[in-house]
Amino acid sequence: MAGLAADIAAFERMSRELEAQHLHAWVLFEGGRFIAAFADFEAAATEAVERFDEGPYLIRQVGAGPVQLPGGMVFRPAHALDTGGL
Amino acid sequence: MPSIQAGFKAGAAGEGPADLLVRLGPTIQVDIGLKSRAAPGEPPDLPAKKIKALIDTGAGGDCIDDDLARRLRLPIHDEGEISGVGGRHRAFIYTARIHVPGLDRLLFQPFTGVKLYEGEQWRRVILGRSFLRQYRLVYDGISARVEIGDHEPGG
Repeated sequence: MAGLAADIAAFERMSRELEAQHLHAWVLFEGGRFIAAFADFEAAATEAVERFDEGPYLIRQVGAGPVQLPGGMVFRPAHALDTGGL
Repeated sequence: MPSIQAGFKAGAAGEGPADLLVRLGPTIQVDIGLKSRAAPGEPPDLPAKKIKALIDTGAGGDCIDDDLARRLRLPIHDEGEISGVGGRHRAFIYTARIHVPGLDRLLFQPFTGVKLYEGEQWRRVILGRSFLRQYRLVYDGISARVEIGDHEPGG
């Protein structure tokens, strides 16, 4: 998971720039580098699998919030975790 | 126009189709994996076939059983945390292709890994509103018919 951690760190470093230029787009990071932004997950995943096969790589929607899961569960991406308690 | 049924035609063990729909929920069979092994122009050939999937309009995202995702060597493209009545735990997001025979569409979808098998769930995939974004869903609890398609109901 070291590769994914590097990609997440790169995303965090660029987060302001990404939100300014690619809000709601799906972005692809690989090897700790920003690769490209895409209009939808389909396009981002197609590029990721064609170029980097099984990865590791990061695909994330810029500005996305928590995802509602079944049974009232919520998925929060690592960048949106609340470490300040309730 | 393609469409499939996610309801039940017959009951079992004293239960009618509508009872089964209440108890089990709308269910379809999907093929899932990362790469299709089919030649261009042929129907998709993904490694895991006829995987039972619950259609859950109460879920925004899609989920896959963690063990199944690892067995299929699906790439992890993000990570985070799941919180709910069971507390909080780390979770991964997998990239997978899904094909629903009958709907004629091969799609990449992000799937949150959850422990469906460990939780003794008989489905290995849950499809939420992210999947349904591309389709119409018509739920008839009386007749136990649930239609998923990309056209007007009855059209």
